[in-house]
Amino acid sequence: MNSTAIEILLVEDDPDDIELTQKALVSGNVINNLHIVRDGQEALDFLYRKGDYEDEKTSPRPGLILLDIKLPKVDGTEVLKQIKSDPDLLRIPVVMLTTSKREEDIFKSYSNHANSYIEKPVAFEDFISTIKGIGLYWLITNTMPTRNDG
Amino acid sequence: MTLTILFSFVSGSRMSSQYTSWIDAVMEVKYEVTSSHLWLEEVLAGDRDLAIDAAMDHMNEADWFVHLLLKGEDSEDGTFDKLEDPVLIHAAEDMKETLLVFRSIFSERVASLESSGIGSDIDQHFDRIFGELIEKVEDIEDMLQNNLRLDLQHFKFAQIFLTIICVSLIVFVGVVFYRFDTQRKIDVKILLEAKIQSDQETFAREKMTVELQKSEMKFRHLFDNMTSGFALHEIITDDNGKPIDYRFLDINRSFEKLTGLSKGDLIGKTVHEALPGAEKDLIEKFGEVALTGKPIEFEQSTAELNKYYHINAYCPDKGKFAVIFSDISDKKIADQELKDFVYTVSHDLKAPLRKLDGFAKLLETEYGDKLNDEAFHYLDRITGNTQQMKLLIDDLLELSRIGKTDLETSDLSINTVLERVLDDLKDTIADKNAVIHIAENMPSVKINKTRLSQIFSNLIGNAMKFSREGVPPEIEIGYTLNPRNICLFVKDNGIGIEEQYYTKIFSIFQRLHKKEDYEGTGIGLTIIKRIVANMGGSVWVESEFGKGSTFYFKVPK
Repeated sequence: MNSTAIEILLVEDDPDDIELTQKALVSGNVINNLHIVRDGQEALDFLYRKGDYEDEKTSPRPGLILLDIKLPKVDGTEVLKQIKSDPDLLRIPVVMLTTSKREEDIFKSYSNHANSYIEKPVAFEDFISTIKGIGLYWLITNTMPTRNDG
Repeated sequence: MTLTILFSFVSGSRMSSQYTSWIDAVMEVKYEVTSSHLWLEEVLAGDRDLAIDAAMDHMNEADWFVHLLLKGEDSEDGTFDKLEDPVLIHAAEDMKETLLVFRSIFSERVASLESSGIGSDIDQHFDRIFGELIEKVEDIEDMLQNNLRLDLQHFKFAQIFLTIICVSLIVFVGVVFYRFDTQRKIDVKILLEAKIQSDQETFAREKMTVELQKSEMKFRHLFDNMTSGFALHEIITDDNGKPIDYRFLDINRSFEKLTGLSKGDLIGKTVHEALPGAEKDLIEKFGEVALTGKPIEFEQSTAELNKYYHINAYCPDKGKFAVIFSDISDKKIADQELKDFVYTVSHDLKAPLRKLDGFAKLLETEYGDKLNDEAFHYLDRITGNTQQMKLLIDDLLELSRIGKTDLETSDLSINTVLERVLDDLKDTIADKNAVIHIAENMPSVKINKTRLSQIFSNLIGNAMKFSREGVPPEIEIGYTLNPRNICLFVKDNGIGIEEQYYTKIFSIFQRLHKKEDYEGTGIGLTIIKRIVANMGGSVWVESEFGKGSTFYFKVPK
């Protein structure tokens, strides 16, 4: 299982954060295929294979979604809501990865069935260990039926 | 006394009518007797017939007057009362008898004149009788004169007495009249005064009524124009005295404006009738105010009206409560906006920090072999500063979170809280070789756990941070129990604080030392001050410069 690459969908609008998340995943030894979308709408298109993301090969069903809350167009909470209300998608673990520690955001996320809520630590080393933790969590707790997408 | 006066008066008045006539009569008797005696001399001298008749006439006259004296009669000689005094009567009868003897001797003499001529013996006898008679008459006259004088005296006495009585009476009447008059005057004066007073009272009352009306108008004006809503209610309790509802008695205009409810909809109605969705806990809260008289102040959101109110409730009369409230919905919104703003700013400020740190670390890990020591030093400076900035933002965020409506409180064991705090600080304690003494069995306090931990964590952290070089920190934590509060303290053996900075250190961003000497944000004590102030307590420091400081904070029990 360790050799199996995880399909991860990172929904993040900030290029710096994208880069740092990528680096953290590498540093944390989380082997993955990282798919990056830049706003909520793109995330939904990716998941429903619409527009630029029609191709199943380039837009596989992710095994983990890292979702920022503050996003352009459709925000993270709305994306979460849609994922969790769709029977096809609700089993995908969604980790809210955000800078917001606001209780309201945390509450909203968990009420919408987010699987985890993680505040991005300021220190990069802490961030790496967090990402590592997420990978581990996913590896150990993921009981999702693996879909054979061909 | 009265009898004497009456008697005197009667005898006095008798004088005028009786004594005059009696004395007249007696004098007449004397005159007639004397005249008849003289006529007898004439008879003896020879003029018989005429003289005898004259003498007889005079004697008859004398008899007549004696008769008048003894019997009294109303005649042409005047009105005579008969004598009443027995002595006088006796004298008069004696006189009458003597007069009879005188007459008989006279008759005898006249008769003997015819026969025997003049006899000196008879004459002597006759003269003697005449003398006796005159004497008796004069006695009576004297007696009468005497009586008259006595009666006159009596009368005078009575007169004087009566005069005195009259004068007294006049004086008395005068006095009485004067008294009466004075009394009347006094009465009139009293009446007048009473009237004036009553007028004044009426005036004062009217004035007071007017003042009262004015005052009431003023209050009504204030009542209606105050921007705060005001409402008076009476509490309604069940059979067990438990408040179950309340009735609106009066509300002001602002109440109507603030709630959008009108007087007509509320007055006389209970809150259940008027606002069926009213919060139940409000009835309990207000019930306590109305029944215990203890005023309260709180903030309340009403789902029914979708508003936030700041509410003061007090008890003007037992069983009643008055509520003064203002709409703080705008303030609440502004507060929320400010909170949001602070969060946003804090988080948005943190994002670039995170990136700075991230890229600095990447530079170090990925290009470490190409960097010299100086470059590493610069990278250290970058990460050090990002760390500092992060602390600053965290503290600011914390400070903004300490609101007036703070988190929930519970009874906390101070010792348990301290154990947790020391556990969090264990690395620093080990680093600094710090020794910490905590008083055993510290009491419980009703405080929010996070806040109390924050206070201790900050104070103990400071105590270790500001230690003297080469002197391991020795920290003592204890308390003193006061009737209404608990004073806790954290005492250290550190560098101490000069007295002029005792207050200053609690101001935001106030630092007494260079950053490179003592790291920190300059917000820690400000956070403590705000937390303690929100609990209704206070915080202060006492220190011996160069030897150590003691931070005290007082919190209600």
